[in-house]
Amino acid sequence: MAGIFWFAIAAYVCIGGYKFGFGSFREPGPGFIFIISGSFLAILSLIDFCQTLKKNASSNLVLGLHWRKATLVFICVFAYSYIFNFLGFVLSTFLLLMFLFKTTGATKWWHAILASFITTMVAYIVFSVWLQIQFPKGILGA
Amino acid sequence: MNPLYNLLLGLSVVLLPINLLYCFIGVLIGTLIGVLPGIGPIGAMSLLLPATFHSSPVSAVILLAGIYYGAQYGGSTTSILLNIPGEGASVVTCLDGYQMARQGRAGPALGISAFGSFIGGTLSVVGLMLIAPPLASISLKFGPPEFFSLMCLGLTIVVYLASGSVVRAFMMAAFGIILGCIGQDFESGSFKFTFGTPELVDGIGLSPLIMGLFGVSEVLLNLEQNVTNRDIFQTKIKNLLPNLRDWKDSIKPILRGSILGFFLGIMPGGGAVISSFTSYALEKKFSKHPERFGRGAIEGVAGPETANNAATGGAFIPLLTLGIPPNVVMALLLGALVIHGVAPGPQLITKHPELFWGIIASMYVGNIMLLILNLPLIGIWVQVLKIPYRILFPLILLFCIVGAYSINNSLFDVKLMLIFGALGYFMKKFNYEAAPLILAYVLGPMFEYSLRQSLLLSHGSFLIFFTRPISRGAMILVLFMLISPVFPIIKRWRKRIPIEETT
Repeated sequence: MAGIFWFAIAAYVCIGGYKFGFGSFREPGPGFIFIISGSFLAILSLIDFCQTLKKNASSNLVLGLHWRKATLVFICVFAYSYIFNFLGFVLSTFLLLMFLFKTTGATKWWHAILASFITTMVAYIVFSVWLQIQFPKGILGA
Repeated sequence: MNPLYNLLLGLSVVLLPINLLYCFIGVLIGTLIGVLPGIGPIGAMSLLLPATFHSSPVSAVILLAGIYYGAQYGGSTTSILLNIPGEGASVVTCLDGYQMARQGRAGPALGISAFGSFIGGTLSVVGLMLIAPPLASISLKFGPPEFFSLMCLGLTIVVYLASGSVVRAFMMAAFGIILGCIGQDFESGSFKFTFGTPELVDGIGLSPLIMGLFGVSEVLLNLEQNVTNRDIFQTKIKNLLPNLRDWKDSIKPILRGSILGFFLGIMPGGGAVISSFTSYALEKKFSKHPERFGRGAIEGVAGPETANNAATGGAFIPLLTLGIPPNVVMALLLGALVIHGVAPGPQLITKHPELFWGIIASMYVGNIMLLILNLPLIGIWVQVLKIPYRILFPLILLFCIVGAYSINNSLFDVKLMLIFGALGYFMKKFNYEAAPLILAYVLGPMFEYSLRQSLLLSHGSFLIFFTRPISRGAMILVLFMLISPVFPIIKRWRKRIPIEETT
């Protein structure tokens, strides 16, 4: 499966490279490197696909692993990037950390709230006050 | 200018209070990273990269280099006390270091590892100081074909030494070049794969890419594997200073490890991991009692620990003199220098002597700091080991997010980092290595430039890479490595090469 994914990427890169302009070997254009690298990737991904089929190495990536926890954390952090501007750094980070501390399942709610509060405050002081990173204030600053 | 004068120039730079502070923070964080599981030196360096944007280039590199060699020191603590290596280069230290700890000799094991690292690190800096300037003056004569061939050689060796499939490693290198070439074209000014996004005009940022591939993906994988608290081997750490017998047994392995590590560090693809494994094999071969290895032989700790630190100094040579990073860590340092407007390469020593010699002097100072940090503070590092992962992972993620955001104050970089985090997660699951990708990504723009310029020079003939002597030599080596997997002996040898660090 992974081989097909990489082949699709390679095909897309080659088409894009063709649109940018291959030029010629005498005078390579902006798409030259993409067509060369894309073709190379395409050929190798086909070899990889065939090798995987030959080995019948369809490893089970799902069973026996807590992949749900990883997916949940990933979705949560992605959602954070969308609410970040609206809620501001302090509030959105507090919510994110509370969720992350609780995700492991081993922390009590009040532990998670306290840990998130302290971490958010320390992060705000270090990054915003000390390192002068400009964070959105969000609804708290409005 | 003689080396002594240059060293004094470097010391005058590094002994500035601000640079001393950066050096101290670097080695402190490095040791911490080496001790802590779940985040490696590459992830830590990429996290700290945005924090260096407001500093001078020399301070930035001093900090990042400090993290790198500090992590080599810190990794040995977990190997000896836990039998779990903090990072790849310390894997081999587990074999004898942990056995020494079980025999009540954790103190001398930690002590010789710190002293060996110090001696190896210092000797490699001396080597760097002596070899780099003449090599830089030779490389001033290099043109695009030479640079292209050397980059091909570097990439091929990294791919060749990859732990898994060579095909997959080449795929990652090709994908890395594609990612590296995204952005505005250097010749025509046209935009390539920017999708109308202004943030992509300058290309994909180094920090989101590395933080995603190494930081976020590592957290996601560790969450799956349910990293729990480890039991620290209950032993009283005493007698950190090795006795006369320990020194007698260790001095030759330390000297051999210094030389071996330094030269393996220079080689593309060679690095701390390969150096430590090779040193272990070498010491076992040299030993009159090889049967003691794996049962608590101090030589098995002294040699590899020295070699992995000596490799750090060696790895700076191709980066600072040719502008070609031999491994991922150096690729990251190259990225950091470029972000600060400094182009590493043959002219670095003449154009920015304070930077070049400042970095070298900082490694002397950093090694002394590490010696001071490691011996008396081992008790604190042991306590750090007890921090549970459920507390660590939200902090690592927060650092990643803030690090990616702070580069351009843009959420685009955060989203990009998360996308690469997901990609890195699946890459690890399907056994695609990130190291060739990162190296190729960093080399990408230079690779494209030198290839196109070479073809322009030769009117489209690829023979230009075979008509110039240096380029021809490099290309012959590339071709040899490409066809070598066909030969069974070489195939078997390749399988025995230890895995180079990717985290």
